[in-house]
Amino acid sequence: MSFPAIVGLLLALGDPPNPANAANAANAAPTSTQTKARVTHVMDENERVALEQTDNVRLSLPTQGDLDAWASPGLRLQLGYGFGSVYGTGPALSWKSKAVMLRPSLRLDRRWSIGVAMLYGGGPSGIRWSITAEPTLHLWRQLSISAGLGYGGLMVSSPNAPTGRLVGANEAVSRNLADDEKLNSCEGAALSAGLRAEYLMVVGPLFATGPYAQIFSQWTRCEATFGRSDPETGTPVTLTQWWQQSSTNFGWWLAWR
Amino acid sequence: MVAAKQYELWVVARVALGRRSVLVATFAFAVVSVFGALSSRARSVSASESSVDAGSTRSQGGNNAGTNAGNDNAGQDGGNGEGKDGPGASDARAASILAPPSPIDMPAIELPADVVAPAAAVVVDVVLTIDALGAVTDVVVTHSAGEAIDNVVIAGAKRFRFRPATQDGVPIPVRIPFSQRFEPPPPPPPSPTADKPALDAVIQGIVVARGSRKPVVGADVIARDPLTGYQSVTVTDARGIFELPVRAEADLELRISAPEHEKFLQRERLEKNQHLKVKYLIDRKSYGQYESYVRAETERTEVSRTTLSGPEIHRIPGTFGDPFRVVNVLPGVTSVMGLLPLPIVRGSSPGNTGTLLDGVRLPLLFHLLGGPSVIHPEFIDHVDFYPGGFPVNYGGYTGGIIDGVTRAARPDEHRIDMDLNLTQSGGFVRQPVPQLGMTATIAGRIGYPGILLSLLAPDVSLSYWDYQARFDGGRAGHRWTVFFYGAKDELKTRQSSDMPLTTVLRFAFHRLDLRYERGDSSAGETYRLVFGYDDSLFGGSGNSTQATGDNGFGNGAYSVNPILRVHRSPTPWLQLRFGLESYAHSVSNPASTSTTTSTPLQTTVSNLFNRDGFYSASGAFVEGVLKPTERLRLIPGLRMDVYDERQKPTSVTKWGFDPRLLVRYHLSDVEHGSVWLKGVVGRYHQPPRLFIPIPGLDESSLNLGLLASTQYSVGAEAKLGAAAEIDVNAYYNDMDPVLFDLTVNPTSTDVQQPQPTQAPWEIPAANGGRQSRTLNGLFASRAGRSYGLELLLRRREADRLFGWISYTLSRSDRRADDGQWHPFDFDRLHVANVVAGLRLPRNWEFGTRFLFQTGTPLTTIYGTNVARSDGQFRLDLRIDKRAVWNKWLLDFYVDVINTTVAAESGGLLGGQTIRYIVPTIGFRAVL
Repeated sequence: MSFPAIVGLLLALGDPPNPANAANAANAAPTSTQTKARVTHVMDENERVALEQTDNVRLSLPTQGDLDAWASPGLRLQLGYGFGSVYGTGPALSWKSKAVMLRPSLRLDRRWSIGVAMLYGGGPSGIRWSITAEPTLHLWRQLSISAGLGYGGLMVSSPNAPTGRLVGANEAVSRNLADDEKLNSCEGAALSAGLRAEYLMVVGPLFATGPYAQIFSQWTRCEATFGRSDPETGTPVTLTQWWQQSSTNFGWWLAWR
Repeated sequence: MVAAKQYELWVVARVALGRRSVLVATFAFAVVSVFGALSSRARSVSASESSVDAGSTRSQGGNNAGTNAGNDNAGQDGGNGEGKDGPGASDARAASILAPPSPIDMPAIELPADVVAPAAAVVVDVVLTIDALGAVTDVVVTHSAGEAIDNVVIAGAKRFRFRPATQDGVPIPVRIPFSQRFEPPPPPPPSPTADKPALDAVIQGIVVARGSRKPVVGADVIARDPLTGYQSVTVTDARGIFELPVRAEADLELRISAPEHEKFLQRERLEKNQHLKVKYLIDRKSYGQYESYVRAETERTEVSRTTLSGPEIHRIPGTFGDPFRVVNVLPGVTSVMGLLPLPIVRGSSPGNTGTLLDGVRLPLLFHLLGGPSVIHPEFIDHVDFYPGGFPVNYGGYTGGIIDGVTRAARPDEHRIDMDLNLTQSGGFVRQPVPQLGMTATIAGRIGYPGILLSLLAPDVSLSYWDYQARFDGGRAGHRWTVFFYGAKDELKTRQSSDMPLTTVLRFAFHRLDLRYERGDSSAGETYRLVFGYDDSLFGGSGNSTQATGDNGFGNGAYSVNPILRVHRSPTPWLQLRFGLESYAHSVSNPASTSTTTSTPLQTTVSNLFNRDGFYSASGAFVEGVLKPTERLRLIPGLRMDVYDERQKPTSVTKWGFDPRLLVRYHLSDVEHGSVWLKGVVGRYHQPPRLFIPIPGLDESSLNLGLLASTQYSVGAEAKLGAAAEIDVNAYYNDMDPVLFDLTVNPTSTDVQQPQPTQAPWEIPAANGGRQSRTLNGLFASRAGRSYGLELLLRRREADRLFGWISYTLSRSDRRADDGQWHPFDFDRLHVANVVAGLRLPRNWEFGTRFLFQTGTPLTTIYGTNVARSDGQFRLDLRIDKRAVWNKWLLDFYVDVINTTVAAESGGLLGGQTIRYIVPTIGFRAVL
């Protein structure tokens, strides 16, 4: 069992069901101590102390069905882990990577949720990320689709993608790169948009798990700096270029309510 | 002497109103403010006595089946307050006894005929102001159930009469929260034709909260026979116990309901004459680890103090749950860099701000400079932060004060707390030892960031640990404490994989803090004796980077720190405080015998650190709190310090003479927001200190003189309801001279074309080499000034929400050699923080911190520090989920610093930018 799965079970289950509890749930005869005292008996101090120390412990039976619980309004938290490919167009880099996702959301009613999906994935010597706000439509049972729009960025570099005409200390002022030039590193952020379908299997009233698939598009205002400052502004000398990338991701959710 | 107090008592009163409705009124008594605390009548209370008194008051409560069941941490929080006047003040609060108000007459609050009874249960939360005569003088609604029902509750609550709260037997006014619950009318009774069934069995049960095992008081217990519809109903008593006659051989549906708890359902079937003894575990709707309703507060005698406690110091995202880091989110504070929490307080260098534990300087604050603090967070009861204008009991600093305050453990306090995350593990155990008349607390943590670091850099090893052991004993009026604590950080490297790791950086310290406190808040003394040993290393023997001595610097520094505090209240209009203290340490740091050629860097570093010798800093102060009129407070104080270095062949002695005056004026009373105007002017001195605390290096280069500042501040503070407050301060600091200032920016001459080949952080050395601009700049003497405006709009955790908005408009300058004022390298014009923590159902907690700050100065060819770096946004998030087991709680949390990976520039980074994200995942178990 993976570590995330153990985490999920720990948080979802709490204490295991009490055997006495289960017996009662089935309307079995109580297993507690029987006495022959009269009904009108009033407890003395010793009995009270004994009662405080009794091992005959009961938890509550479920007051709501698992599926109903997951369909009811409230906060949800999902942790996801998946694989994907990033496809760059023009000068943008392409790569394959793994990504984790964190998604707090609020179930509004049986049909709708709103949430924020935070994706952090690997990249060539760096990371990519996106933060998208997304409404979710719950289509059928635990199947849902989400569409998000937000903010994403890159912090990657690749020695195999040579920079255009950058020549050491001669590049003294900031400028935008032409389309035929190629940055070998990108650090920046801009727009991100995505679409995701997922199916959560309800394990209990507090825990669910299931797969997801999503597609993403990201536009990034890439900047590359070289440790030099513009003497007239004090700010770094920067080369800038826009990158457009699309990605597909497939992964697995652990979800708590 | 004034101090803080808090007390909580839950009283549940049930009034049956026939068929119309059933009322369940829940009182949560918490003394939230004590007026007239300057009088000799004002006393304080400790957490322990809060607990003890709770019991005695409950027993006198008559019909009040009271306990603190409504608040699992009532006792724990009970001693948390805001009164603080120096070392040991928190424990001094233990000296007096506070009794909460108890009801004399509580007429049932009924819904009149013209108000529609609710279809479902509703709750109205209010805050009652009870005067010293026991009358309810004000009712403020904090949770509404609609105007009509609110008005009924307000009118009803004003008819309540109480025995007033007392402090050491003297009646005092208080505010308490009060909840009024209206439940819908019960179902119609069984048909009169139906016979009452024979109740020939009994359920003898106890209802306790799952996880915390605290009894649930006043819970409704209903056993229903589905076949006949007959219901047996009872209520749990003060111990959560009930006895319910039921029908035997029936499949009973047993339900339990209680305020702030989840619904409970069970099925029971009893045999004839059976007495079923059973314990029902019922889930609370929320298990707040730092739960408290309203924090107590006595009258303040300072101008610019902010006290944080409970969730405010443990649940703020981006702080690793560390109390000392939270200060960076308050007004008047920025940091040198986002991940390096060295505070820039009101435009002063980090070395000018004292980081203290119970008033005593911590030789090392953060592990590995930017990691968690060296004291387990559970030890810190609250943090007092003074951005300036602090009173005379604090000496030796010209910036601000950050004082982490511990508290004495209660005699009956048990707690086991274990935590584990990606970089460290820790434990905290508190256990009474009645045979010795004390409570012992042991804690420690071990960090292993090197495991993660080794994946990136296998030739580097990084580790740290810390420990704390505290023993609290004694009785009211005579309390003692023995407190050990210490820490060690270590960095090891090797030049190649086939060589062993060698230590190149080591910081370690140990402290033994002995305390004895006598008296109470009106008259008492605190005696402390703190012994210490520091051991630090910068560069190891045989290593080419070694700076001084074959064994590093600051090695083997023994210290002793005696402290005496005395307070007296000779008249109702005067309080006097006296103090004596000394910090003396001897340093054993022999001169280097290394044959390694000394570089300019090594020479500069060696100049910083104390050589063999004896160093001392001794001070005395006196302060009075005068109350010439009912509304005016004058707090004059005088402090005198002498700093002395005894080295061979030279010795240096410097004197500091610091008069201070604080004034507070009570502009309006509670009903009008309790507005105070305030002002302070004071003189402050300190010896040169490095910008980070390093064990064994408390002060150095005394021959350069003392740093000095004159601070002015005026402001106003006001209550905005039961849990909200606003605080505004304007300040001006005249700093002359400034020494050991943190300097990173080049001058305009340095960046003239053609650009020099050396890096901005280096400057030419006399011998033709290069040396650090920052380290060399420490020895420059110059003048400085800072001025600005600070705003804090704060909501304490009164129910489920806490947080604050802080804003600072500031400017900090330094005068250059040419006589011109230039902005300080870390000056930021605007700094705004929004912090919020929210407790949600099913044990979720959500926290966020949003930061916006403008950039720091940059140097261009047109001048020194004439441009600015880009501003910065940063969003931190934290989500906690608490799993409740039968006897313990398990927390899982995710804390993400800089969630949006936003770019940061300025400060130590100058004009360059970096992006980072720091996620933390961890567990915490509480037993």
